[in-house]
Amino acid sequence: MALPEILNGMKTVVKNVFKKKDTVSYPEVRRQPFPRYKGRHILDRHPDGLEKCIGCELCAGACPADAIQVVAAENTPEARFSPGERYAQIYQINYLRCIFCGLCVEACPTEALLMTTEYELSGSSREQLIYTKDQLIIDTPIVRHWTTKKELPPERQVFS
Amino acid sequence: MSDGKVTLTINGHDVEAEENRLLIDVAEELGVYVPRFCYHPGMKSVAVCRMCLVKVEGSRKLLPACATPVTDGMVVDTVDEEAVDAQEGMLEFLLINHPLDCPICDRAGECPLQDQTYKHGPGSSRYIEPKRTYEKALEISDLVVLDRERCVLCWRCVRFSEEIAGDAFIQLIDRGAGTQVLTFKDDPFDSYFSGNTIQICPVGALLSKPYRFVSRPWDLTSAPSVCSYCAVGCPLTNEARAEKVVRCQALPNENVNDFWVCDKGRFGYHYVSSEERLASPLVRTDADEFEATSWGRALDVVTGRLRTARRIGIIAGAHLTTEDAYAVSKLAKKTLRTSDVDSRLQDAGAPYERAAALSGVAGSTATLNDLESARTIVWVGPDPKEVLPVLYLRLRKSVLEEGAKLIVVSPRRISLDAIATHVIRCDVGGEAEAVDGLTWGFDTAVAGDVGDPLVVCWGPSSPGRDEGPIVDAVVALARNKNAKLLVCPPHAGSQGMIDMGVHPSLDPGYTPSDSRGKDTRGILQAAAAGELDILLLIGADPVADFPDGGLVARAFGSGVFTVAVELFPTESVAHADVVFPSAAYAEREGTFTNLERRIQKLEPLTAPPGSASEPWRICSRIAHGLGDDWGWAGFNDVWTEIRATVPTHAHVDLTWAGQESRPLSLHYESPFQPDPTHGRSVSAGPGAGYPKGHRSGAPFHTGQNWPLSWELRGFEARQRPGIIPSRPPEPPAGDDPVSPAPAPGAPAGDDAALRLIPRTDTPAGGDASLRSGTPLSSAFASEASPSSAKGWSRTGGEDGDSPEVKAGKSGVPERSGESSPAATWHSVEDEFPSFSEGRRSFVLYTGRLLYDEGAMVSKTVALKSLARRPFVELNEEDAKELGLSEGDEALVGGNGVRATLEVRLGDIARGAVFIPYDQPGWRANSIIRGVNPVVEVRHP
Repeated sequence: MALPEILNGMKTVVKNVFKKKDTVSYPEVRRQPFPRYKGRHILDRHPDGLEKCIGCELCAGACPADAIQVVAAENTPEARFSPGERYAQIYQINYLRCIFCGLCVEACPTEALLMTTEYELSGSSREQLIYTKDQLIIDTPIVRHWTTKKELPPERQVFS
Repeated sequence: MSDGKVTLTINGHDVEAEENRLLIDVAEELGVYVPRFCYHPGMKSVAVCRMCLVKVEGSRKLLPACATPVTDGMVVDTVDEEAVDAQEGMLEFLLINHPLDCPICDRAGECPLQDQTYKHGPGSSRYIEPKRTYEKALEISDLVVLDRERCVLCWRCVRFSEEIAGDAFIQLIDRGAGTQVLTFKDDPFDSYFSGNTIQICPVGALLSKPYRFVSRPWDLTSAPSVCSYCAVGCPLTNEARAEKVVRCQALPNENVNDFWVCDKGRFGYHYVSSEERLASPLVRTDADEFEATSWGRALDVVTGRLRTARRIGIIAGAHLTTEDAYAVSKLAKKTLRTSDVDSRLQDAGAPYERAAALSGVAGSTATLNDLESARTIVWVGPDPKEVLPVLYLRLRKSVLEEGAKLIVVSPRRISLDAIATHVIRCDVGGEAEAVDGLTWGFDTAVAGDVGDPLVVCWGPSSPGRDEGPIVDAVVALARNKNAKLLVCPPHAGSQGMIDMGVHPSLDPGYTPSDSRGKDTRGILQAAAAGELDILLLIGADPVADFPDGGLVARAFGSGVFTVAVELFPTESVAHADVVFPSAAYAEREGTFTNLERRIQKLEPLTAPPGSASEPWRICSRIAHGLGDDWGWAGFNDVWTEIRATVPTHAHVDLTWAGQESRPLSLHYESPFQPDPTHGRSVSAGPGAGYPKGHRSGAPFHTGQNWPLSWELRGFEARQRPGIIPSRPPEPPAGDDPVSPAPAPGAPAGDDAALRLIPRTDTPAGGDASLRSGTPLSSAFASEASPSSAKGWSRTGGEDGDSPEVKAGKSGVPERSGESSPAATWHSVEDEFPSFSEGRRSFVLYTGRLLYDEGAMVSKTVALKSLARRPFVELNEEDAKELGLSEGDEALVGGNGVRATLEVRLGDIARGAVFIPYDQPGWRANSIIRGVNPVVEVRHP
């Protein structure tokens, strides 16, 4: 009585068994996100090495998840971090709260805060997921937990 | 119109308003916001920014709303196309040279220019040429940073410094496009009121140095509060970021501070979050060290001592709130049954209670608003600019704006001399005679200006001096001329202490105590003589504040068991055996009673460090430990009891004192939102359509996640008025017109100065006559009985020594003898040498300067560097006799202590020297001994 339905269902299974797989065996094989994917942030620098971030806290103000904390301070001739008077003394993003909406990047008046396509954010404690300025600044390499043997381009069409 | 009212139409609404009011104010109360930069309700209009142009029917040109008084039948349109066009054009013009560096500007987020540009400005600018540039961030003083690029030339700071503060230190210079705001060359912007220019600056041109880059306004939570320093009690907002107070701003109250606050109040908040704050109870161990302990153990130690102690002295500090005062008073007079309780430290012995002879109130009968309606003001007291800065502003306004005549009686040139009609330069202690001269009209030139209404102001001026004759004279003057009296105690909590009966001879509500206890001096003398079993210091630091350093050293040197409730490990705390940490003003609910007896409410903002707690709670726990459960769980319980037991405060309704502002049903109009009813753009409802970031008359809530609005407006000055409690129900009855106290013959004689006898025991001269002759005690006989029936007054006398107490004392660890004064004590003869060898004795006239070494202000980073070094001010003639000139160093001695101080020549009575009371490096109380101190000055 239920046999036609079962056969009908099995038809879908059999059809897909011979199709090309859509999954990759992450983390050995990794598919790159699209270029405009919104992942982990970085803080950019000017060509002369000064930080683009001026500590204005607009990113923190724009953040709907309240994930960013900025404490500004004043540049001095002896310790200059950014052009102008103000720089970010403390800059933290809490990736447990971040929803990757990108409003902070939109708010940034100096294009200091950018988003990478990096999505591999994990840690063994809550503190590890609060990224500090040292980790976010562009000259710190992004460290992955596993080595990836093969990177697939984002536009690879699985269904051919 | 006949009743001084006119009717006009604003944007189609008919409004009735008082004649001569400004259009901008009337529109604002209707809910029509006219954009503005230069207009400020606390200052005169100048109409320079041209932002508030509105269309008035019948006028060919647009009129500035801030300089146009309303007239009958006026038809005003603020959202007319022509007016809106002018406003947009003006904003575009102002933005031509504005750097638009909002991301690094502290004002961003609460900036009038920013918000009004969003609201009233054009969408874009047509100006593409390079902007005018100046050097950024000039530090024009230790507190203020100037960024000239951002200035929109509204003149507010210039007008404030000239009109309100009287310190002309900032000015617009140059002409045309090169106009810039700048301080005078080589002249720093060192005004006591410089912080106000930061708050009124409509852009980020004047910025606070301590707050620079510290926070964004949207990060702040805020709570209304009251300044914890002086007795004026300016309302403030405390603003905190991440549980740390980072900014204070003036809240307006037209009754108290108008729109202003002094720099000490504005920048003096750092102490709240100081690392040095006490965070847990401390108990002195056998090894003579402090050990952090639990509240339970510390309370056990204290209550154990109190159970056996028979002779208890309590000194409370004058920075405590009214509830703390009531708790201290109750602990002393009800639970511990002692009247040996006093709150007068710096003003030790100041006879506030004698003011009660005038009206039944041991305090002011005048309000600060009475100053403005007064025809004559008599000032007898310290320099208000140093001690009560905002009172100086109010006095200045009364004299310069309202035309009151000011008579200053002072032995030394003070700030008020510059605006006074008459200055009576008297000897130190000769104030009484001078005031009597006014009473009886001896000096016709001066007395002819004593008009009605008259306000007589008195404040204790020189610590350590007997103010009795002066108070008698002042009270006599007030009585004789039917004047109001403004009593100016020094600190935020001083008046609350007197109101609540933290006084050896007054119970709460100014009812005289049945038994007269020891005052501060008496308590310390008892301690020094070993006749005290336990000394409670509740927010009191006698080492720093009491005007007899030697006596304090002997008191602590005697090893009396001392309990301290304090914010900081002060020098007095170092002598304590048990220490309880106290909560600071920003961390607690409470009320301060200011010098006009106005009660204003503090709201908590941050959490106290560790387990610190309010002093009233500590008193209540001590009483509980002694088996007297007061049943207080919170602030409201204390006030329920105050209302029930203190007759003057029976009707004080704190829901009103801490009111969240009367709801204002304003509706704001804007040209951008369509409104079907008027055929033009209108939006309704509080706050709707008002510039973004503006709280727009909405209630000011504690913990609201937005600070004070950027623009203090006229109606806001009426939002939290505070309450002045009633006077005692029955005024002093049946007193025949009491003649003023006999002219004090030798009020400050040298022999009086030498006596080390408590004033309470031997009232001198006029003192005795007033106490027995005036109705101070008799007048309140009817008052006294219900109060004593409540068990407030002690019934038994104080007993002598008890042997078990002595036994208990042996357990007290010995203190290190470093503070023992014995080695440096000289004989009295040594103190007063003859006029020879280039040295002379001078009457010491001392007083606090605004920035000093007080426990709170010295923990305030921003103000610490502003405190001047101690100096000695001499009359020119006296200095010449001693061979000293300005800038020299002089050797000043007294009480066996010598110090080398810089000489300043000043307008001071001959035979007197002025030494600031408590400046970094050296405390003047170390050379004070006894009452009416005398010091010796000589060439080093």
